[in-house]
Amino acid sequence: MSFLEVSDLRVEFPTSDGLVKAVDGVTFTVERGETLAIVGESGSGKTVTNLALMGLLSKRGSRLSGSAIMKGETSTLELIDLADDQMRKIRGKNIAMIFQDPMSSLHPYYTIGDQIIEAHQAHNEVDIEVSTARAIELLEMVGIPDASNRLKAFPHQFSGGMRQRVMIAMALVNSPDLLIADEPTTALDVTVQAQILKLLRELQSELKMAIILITHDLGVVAGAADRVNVMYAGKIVESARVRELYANPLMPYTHGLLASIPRMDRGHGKRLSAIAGQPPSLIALPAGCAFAPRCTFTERVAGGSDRCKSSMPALTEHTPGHFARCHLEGAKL
Amino acid sequence: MSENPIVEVKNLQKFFPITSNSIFARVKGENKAVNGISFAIERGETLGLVGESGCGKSTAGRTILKLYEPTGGEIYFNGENISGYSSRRMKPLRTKMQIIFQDPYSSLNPRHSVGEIIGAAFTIHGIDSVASSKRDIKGSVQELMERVGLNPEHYNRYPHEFSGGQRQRIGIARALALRPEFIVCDEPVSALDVSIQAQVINLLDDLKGDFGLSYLFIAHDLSVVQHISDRVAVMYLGKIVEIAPTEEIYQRPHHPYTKALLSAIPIPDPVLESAREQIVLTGDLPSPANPPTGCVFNTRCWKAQARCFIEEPALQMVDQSEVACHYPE
Repeated sequence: MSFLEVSDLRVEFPTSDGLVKAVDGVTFTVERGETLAIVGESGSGKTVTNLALMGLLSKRGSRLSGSAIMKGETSTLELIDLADDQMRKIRGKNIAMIFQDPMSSLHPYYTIGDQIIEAHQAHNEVDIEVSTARAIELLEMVGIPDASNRLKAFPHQFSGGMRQRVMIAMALVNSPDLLIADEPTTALDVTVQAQILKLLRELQSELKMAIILITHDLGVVAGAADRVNVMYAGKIVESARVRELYANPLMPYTHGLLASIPRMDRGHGKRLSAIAGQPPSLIALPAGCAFAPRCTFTERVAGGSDRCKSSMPALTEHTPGHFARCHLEGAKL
Repeated sequence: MSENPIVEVKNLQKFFPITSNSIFARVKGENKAVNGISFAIERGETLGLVGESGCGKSTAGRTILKLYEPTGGEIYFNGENISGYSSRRMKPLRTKMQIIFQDPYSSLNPRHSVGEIIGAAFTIHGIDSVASSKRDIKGSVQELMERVGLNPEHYNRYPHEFSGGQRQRIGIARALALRPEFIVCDEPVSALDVSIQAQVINLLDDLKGDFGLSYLFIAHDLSVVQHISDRVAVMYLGKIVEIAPTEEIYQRPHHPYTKALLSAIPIPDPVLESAREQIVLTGDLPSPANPPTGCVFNTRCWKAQARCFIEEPALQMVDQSEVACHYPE
């Protein structure tokens, strides 16, 4: 059994305009020590999937179904539908999360030290001195110089990259088994992004944790992930090992996404091949493949474009470990 | 360099005062956002301006349009020195120079319909030749909407009814309304999804040819800049550290900062990505209120020597590039 097994996860938000199917039957696994990237555009459901795993969705505002089983050292745990007080014991200890915006996810009125120490105290019955020592150790680990003095600093005294390091230190203070990093470098400059990605790689090989990396940046994925799930309109449309996915994309959406990135190694002045149209509304999803209205391959499908519009293709395994959701025969792009 | 560039700046400076927080507000220091930059943009050319957040690239763009009053230096537009112009004297020139903003959410008034937003340009400038009556304004606006890929029937819709990419198209139509010659594009695609980003870049590329535009294209994403620019200027802490033709700067970066910046960009290909060598810079950008003496990059440079801490390097030609470094690569 894998370390984390998510199966048929669904998240729906009832709104006055209709039911929003943010996550629509998502199944995947994560192994210990592995980085799984979840890639997709805004509104594809990548963040909501992980908020569901963390138990951070309001029970009143959303409908949750499916299962997510995490293997602990002695027992297994079902994360979906876990009681609040039990979830609180796991969150921050076994599963931790780094959010996108380091500016708004630290409390401005508390010092860096207070916030990291609180995260440690919440899960360990130890003296405050022990937690302080742990906080200093973590800050040093993430590369903040003069850590013992910096504990007394407030978030506004730090730059964006430093704050993201603090967030990482806070997330790792209880040595979690699973780290969910939601766009950890999106708000940062490229040179700082390179620092943070390098840090995450080093920490992972040291601590052997599983990482779920949520991002829209296929460049970041190429350097940081072992496996990739591509999401579109709440569904996984392609899943493969990272090299396989980039070398041989099987789903037209992945193909289009890779072709539409301006690339430094491809000279300038060439026209980008954009994907026409826009992602569909999650309230009125088409009956068939959600990508069909933007897809340029529908005519080549056996049974014609009507088939793409009327029936949703299943996520099928084309080569070992490479899954794609497309009607195209043998998915030849 | 041709004889008559559309825009030229010489030793442009923009400092923002830092004041103490008391009722007797007193200037404590200056934030040197743009600290003496010089360049020219040829007619029909796209100059890319890149750098990390806080390097002064957006301030530079806005100061050139005189949206900020320059602290020092000169700005020439079509050979005319506009640095000292009052806002009244600037007004007729505003039809010739426009800006496209980064955030398509906050740069459109939510209470105005698309027609009003794009049409406002005609009304403000009382352009009679283009539109003599309300009816003609509508016609011109719808023509523009069609040109940027919006449905002209959506004339009466409000910004919240559009997606991010469509809103950016509204911003582009607004900038194009008065047939400008020069547009500052301030991170026009940074807020958009990858698949939409490519659509907008292609649109900007097409419009440039059709309308005979010149762009100053400001972005932090070097791969986007490379795609669209003829020449690229790299800014660091209020200074231009390197300026060169696009091919040259990406093939043979001469300034250590340019080199580090380029190497920090992830390549969307796992095979190349794992094989390439990366220069990871340590530390953060120093404060622009108190820039280091000598070369501004000396706090993070791995090649810095004694001279770099004393003497500020000037831009000098190395091959086809202008580089501000004592020890260029």
